[in-house]
Amino acid sequence: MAAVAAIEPDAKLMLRVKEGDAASFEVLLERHRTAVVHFLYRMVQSQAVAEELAQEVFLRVYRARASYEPTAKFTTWLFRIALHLALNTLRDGRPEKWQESLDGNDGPAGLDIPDRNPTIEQELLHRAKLDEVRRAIAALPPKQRAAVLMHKYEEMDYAQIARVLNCSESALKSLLFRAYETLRARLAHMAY
Amino acid sequence: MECQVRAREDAAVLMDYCAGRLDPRAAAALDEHVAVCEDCTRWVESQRAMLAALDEWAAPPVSPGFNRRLFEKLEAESRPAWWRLHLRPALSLAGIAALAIGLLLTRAPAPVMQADTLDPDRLELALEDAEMLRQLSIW
Repeated sequence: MAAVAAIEPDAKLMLRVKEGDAASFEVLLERHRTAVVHFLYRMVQSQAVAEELAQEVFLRVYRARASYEPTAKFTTWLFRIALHLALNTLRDGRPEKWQESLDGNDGPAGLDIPDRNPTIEQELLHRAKLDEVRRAIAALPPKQRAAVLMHKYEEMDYAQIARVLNCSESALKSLLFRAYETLRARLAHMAY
Repeated sequence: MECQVRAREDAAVLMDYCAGRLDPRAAAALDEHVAVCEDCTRWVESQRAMLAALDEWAAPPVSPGFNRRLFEKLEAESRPAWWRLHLRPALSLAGIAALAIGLLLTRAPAPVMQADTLDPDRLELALEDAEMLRQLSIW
């Protein structure tokens, strides 16, 4: 346990939070806020819901400070909480927000075009492609979706993703392979 | 026919190869294979096209008020709620009072007038008091 704390700066910070150091909590928040929000955004595909859930993630971390023990990597714990909340949200269903976000009314993400002066045609084409990507991700079963998002966007290694999803590494690899096969079938025709 | 490389149990190697996650030595070995294998070339191209499509999906920036909202929630949680400040002491006092009354009722039985313990002098005084009150029309 002490060894984990010695090699993991986040765990050290969390132990300081446990001792009452609020500044360490702010450091952890700054370090992981963006990754957690982005993961949740891609899981639920709504910026408002993602931020609401991310707030709950950090609230839970803070509430649990007294009983914190560095038995696992801090980010594994963090993403487990985030995943749990995301899966609950998807299970409970927020179809109106879900559909709204898929229809492209959810902030500037869909307009992030490399060309500074895109024509209307380019912009529409880009939006259509993004919409296709988002729909393809949304169509994946939640666990496959979470695995792809952690692997592709958060660049986590297999061992950590497996711990977050509470499965073996080999099970995770099959899960990811199936997910990427589905995505490949739907998206491979898109040449950017 | 599907290439044996893709049919292997550990398909993650090719996934990692396409994602640029393989170490240079393993990547070089696969480079050689993919260069001569049409099946793998097609698979790798479509996998890379799919990954490139995923790359285009940028998440929006976190809203500027995120931290402020979070700290407000944390502060609200650490602040004692009004009912804790006002209602709890009141309920505690009421509880103590109820307990005290309960104890009195159970431990001190109500005095029962018994004829054989009545003092005749006190009875006479009581009757005189009653007569006096009647005369004063207070009764």
